[in-house]
Amino acid sequence: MIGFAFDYASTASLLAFKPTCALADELGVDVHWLPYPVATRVSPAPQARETVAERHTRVRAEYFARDAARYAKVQGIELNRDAAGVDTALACGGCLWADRHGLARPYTRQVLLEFWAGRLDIEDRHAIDALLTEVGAPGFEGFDFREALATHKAGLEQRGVFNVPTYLVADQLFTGRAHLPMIRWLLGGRHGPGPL
Amino acid sequence: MNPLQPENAEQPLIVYLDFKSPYAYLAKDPTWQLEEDFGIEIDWRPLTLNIPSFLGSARVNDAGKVVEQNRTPRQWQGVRYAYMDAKRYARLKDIVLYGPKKIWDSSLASIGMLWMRETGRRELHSYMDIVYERFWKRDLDIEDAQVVADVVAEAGGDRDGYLEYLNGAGRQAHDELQASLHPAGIFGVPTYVVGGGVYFGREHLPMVRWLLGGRRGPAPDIAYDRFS
Repeated sequence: MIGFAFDYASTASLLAFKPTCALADELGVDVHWLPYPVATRVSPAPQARETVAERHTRVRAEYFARDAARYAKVQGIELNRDAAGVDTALACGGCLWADRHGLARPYTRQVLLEFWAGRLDIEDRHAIDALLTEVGAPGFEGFDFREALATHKAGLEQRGVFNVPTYLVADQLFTGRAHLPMIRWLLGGRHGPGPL
Repeated sequence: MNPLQPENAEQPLIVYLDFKSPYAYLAKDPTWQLEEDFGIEIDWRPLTLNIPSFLGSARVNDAGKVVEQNRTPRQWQGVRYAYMDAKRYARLKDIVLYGPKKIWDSSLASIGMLWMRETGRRELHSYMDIVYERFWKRDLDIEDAQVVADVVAEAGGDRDGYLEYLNGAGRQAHDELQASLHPAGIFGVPTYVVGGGVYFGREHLPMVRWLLGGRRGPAPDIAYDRFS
């Protein structure tokens, strides 16, 4: 089992989806889909008088936006928008509902790809209802997702999750898809030298 | 010596490191391996991190108790995760990483790196190995110019030349280079500049190798991987 804590508004989560599914399929293990809404921030704009900290934050944010774009290209994923200010609670609640039907993976795939392509408003209740019905998990309308999500999120934080994507594997936390070789090595029985 | 341009070099690959970064330490050997695997010389450069500007600052006593700090809870989570993460990879390679008790000013060691670049490849490699290994065993005071000068000499460099360089052209070259990095989009270590792109983190080594190897086959994704 690979626990996968992610958020729909995170490009790092978007880029982790495909390789995570590929690794789970390769190893024949399930993914436990763990939506974890994190606050999205507006990228800072350059200012005439920046402190070192402000400049560092801006340069870092600009870098990660460029980095996401180049690896999205590598993976053939459309990246047509940013996620500043987007509230992902509804979409995350939808994932909890989909998971009750064993459909978290196709739901998450659709939400991530369509949201980042700019074709899905994940703050629109009707759009999420329709998507859940489309993947085979109808009835979300009557689900109190906010309470369920708050409990779910608190549980993840108790386990040490604070960022996305985070993998929960064999009592360890790994933030970022770059750890997938380590996860393969751990779940594969630690054969040969470990990754670096 | 001409001033270093942050993204330009005669060599096909520029690598920025800081001795006080555990992630840069983990990246050192697999990055040196690129020289052998691709028959290239890397342009190794120091990036002296201003950690308090982005991760707050803290100091611990001998018992590991925090005695001074101005970090937010999220910064603490990030720092604790980073050290835990670096240590688990280090253990797989028998690298010793003791958490530093304070945030060090690594500029003297960085200037030593600039000095050793001019001495020779073998000497630079030896200097980097010694500084990283001893510093992370808490066995090297990199804020003491005499201590750093001793390492320069041990690695085959000119001790007195370093001390003179440190207080003149070396400090100037270092400070000018650091000031030029943010405008070039370079902010952390390890950073690789290759094929017209800037790549932060050793997770990009598969991409760096793909670029150095002539972009054969599909471009790889990021990964902390092992290369043999």
